[in-house]
Amino acid sequence: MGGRRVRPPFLYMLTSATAAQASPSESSGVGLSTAARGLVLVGATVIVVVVLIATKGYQPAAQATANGLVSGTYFALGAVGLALVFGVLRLVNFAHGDFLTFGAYSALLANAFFNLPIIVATAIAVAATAVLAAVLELAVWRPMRARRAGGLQLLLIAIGLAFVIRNGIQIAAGTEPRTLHVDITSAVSFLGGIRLGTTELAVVVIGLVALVLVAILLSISRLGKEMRALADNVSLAEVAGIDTGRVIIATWLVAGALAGLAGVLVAAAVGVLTPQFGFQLLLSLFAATILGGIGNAYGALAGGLLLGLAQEWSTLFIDPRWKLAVGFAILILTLLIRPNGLLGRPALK
Amino acid sequence: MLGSKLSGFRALAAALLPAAMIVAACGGTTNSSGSSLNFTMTIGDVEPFTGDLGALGAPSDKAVKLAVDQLNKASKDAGLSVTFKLVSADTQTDPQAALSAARKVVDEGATCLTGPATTPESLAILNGLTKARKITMLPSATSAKLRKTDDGGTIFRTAPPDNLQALALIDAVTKQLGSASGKTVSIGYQNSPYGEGLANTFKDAWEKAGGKIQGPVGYDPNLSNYNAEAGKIVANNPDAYVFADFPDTFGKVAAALLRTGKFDANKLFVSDALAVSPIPSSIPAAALNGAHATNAGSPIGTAVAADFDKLYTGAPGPGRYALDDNMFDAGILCGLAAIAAGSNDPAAINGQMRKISGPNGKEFTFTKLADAVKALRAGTQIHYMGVSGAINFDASGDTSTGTFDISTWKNGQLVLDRKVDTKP
Repeated sequence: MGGRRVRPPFLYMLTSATAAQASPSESSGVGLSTAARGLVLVGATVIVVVVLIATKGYQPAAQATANGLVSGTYFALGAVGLALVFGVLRLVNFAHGDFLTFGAYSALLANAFFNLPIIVATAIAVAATAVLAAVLELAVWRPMRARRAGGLQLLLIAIGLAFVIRNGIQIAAGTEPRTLHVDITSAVSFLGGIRLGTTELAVVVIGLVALVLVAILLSISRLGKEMRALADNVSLAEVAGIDTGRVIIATWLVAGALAGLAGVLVAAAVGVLTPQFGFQLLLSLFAATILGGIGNAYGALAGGLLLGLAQEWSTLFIDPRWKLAVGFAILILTLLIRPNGLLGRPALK
Repeated sequence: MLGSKLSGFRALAAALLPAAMIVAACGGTTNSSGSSLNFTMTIGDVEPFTGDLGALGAPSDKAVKLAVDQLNKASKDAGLSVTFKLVSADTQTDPQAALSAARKVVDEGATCLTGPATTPESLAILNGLTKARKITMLPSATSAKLRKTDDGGTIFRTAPPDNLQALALIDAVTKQLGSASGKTVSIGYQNSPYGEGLANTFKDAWEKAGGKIQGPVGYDPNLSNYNAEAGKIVANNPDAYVFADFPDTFGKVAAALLRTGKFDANKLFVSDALAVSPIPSSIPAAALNGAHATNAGSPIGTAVAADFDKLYTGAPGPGRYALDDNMFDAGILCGLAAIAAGSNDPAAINGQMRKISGPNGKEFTFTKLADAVKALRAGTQIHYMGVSGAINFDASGDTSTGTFDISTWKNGQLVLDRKVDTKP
């Protein structure tokens, strides 16, 4: 009974989907390059906004777009980390939502208990979550990979870690809702009637800046190129002389840092923290990652922003209770049309 | 060979089973016609200590604990050897966890359950455990949905159902606006049986009184962004807002409401789950100061409300919260039903519930609990007059008393304005 192990169908789908993708900057004969597709997406978004303004009026449409950017920003930040880890390690990190929670509670500790200003607290949160991710890599993932643990086992470990982190936070901080020392009630009006909370505005600005920096890191820096090379083909990357161990640690650091930042931004935008919030967001983060193209960090960025926008735009037409369902309906629709996601390569026939 | 081994085992089990059942049935009861009762009764309190309604768990549990203390004192004073015990478990405001919590307390011997606090949890426990085993459950869940559920007569509620609370809200809003006709009320609710039930009942009654409704706008408790919902609720400057929600979720929604810049807390009316005093740090105080809340209240002008308040505030633990008096009454009723039945058998306890709740029988409040116990042992029918009202369970197992407190938040504290009696 030797020979091939049959891979579980879900993992098979994931890995074959990413195998079909090439590195983002390569352009081959099949379809547009990622950059071009990204531009198409931006163009399509602008057209949608214009149509909404025309049909629903400027204020409602613009307000919905602004609301969508708020949630889209932290969806995107969370999803990019998820995609990086999956791209480089082929690991579906079920604990990623709880990284966000960890980041938020680290900021809470610094801000509410040690009374540090929120900027310092955010920096602490980002660093702490990055360290957590790196520690887990050294303590859990690396030894498991050395023992040739299969994809399913790693998945289960990730789920277990999610529970450990979440319950650890619950034991340490209690279950009652907490608030950061940020102003969640004052708001500003701008651009002719759009109204956002001052903290929400800060969240959008900081989030978008972070996303741009990450995108630049991935495309220009040497580390980014090494990450993308590893995401393509681990053996080839090693042959090319890339120190895979170092790149993997760096990937976890970046993913952890992004998750920590995302967690603080969610806590600031929403106002109220409970130990469950990261896990509750995880499904949306997966949806964003899949929407953009699994394992593709740029795709996750786009997917997150689009998911947030689509959810808020939908409230212009249907009852807000259906917000979550709309997000996932769009995900399913996109996958039916483009099985590899928005920025993934078109499916090879 | 294997087959014969199995059949031998089966025969043994078949012989032992009736014997075991007889032993188990005997275990909880002793002579009920004798002058002195001797058994231990365990009351199971399943409350949300964590989760969306986490604020409710500790105060409700404290109330049931006080009831158990009163029962033990009364039993001793009346010369009985009946001991009352309390076991509590956390439902996490989640139906699955509630069922596990109920199983845990029943495994530890509970024969009467107080709580849980929401309708989905109550249904989970009913269908998974208490209906089949005829265990009485006294939830503080107030949605009207539980009235129509086929519970086999096992659910009794000391808290008035929400169809009555909607009437109290109508009364409060009408009093502030002067009249209902032509006035617009914007409704926001949490997407749960509690929220939806209250929202729809209020809507129907308000429209019947000639008013207009904006919405109702429902929202999921697990979202991270409520800006769109808040925008819809405050749009067009309605005359009043009515909210049916739980504290954790409302914290997020309230921040969004304040950010719209169009929200006036003086026009806000909330239902009992939000009647928290003082305002918790998770809800921006600016959203509640000046707002009004309805809350099941003690009957007007009775001494028993003041007695209970003294008892509750004098005991260590959390302060008063919505429905604590109803949970106290639930605990007392469990104990009195056991004494009336003379046994710890769940079905017997269930059979006595309606009889001790009135309207017939000699009236006793909790301050005269020892006398009530003595009357029961003498064979007299009693009517337990609860802190929350005269009880008088109707055909659906709901209390017939619909007294509600209408209060206003001033400087973070909830202050009572007046009481209103509602009739279905």
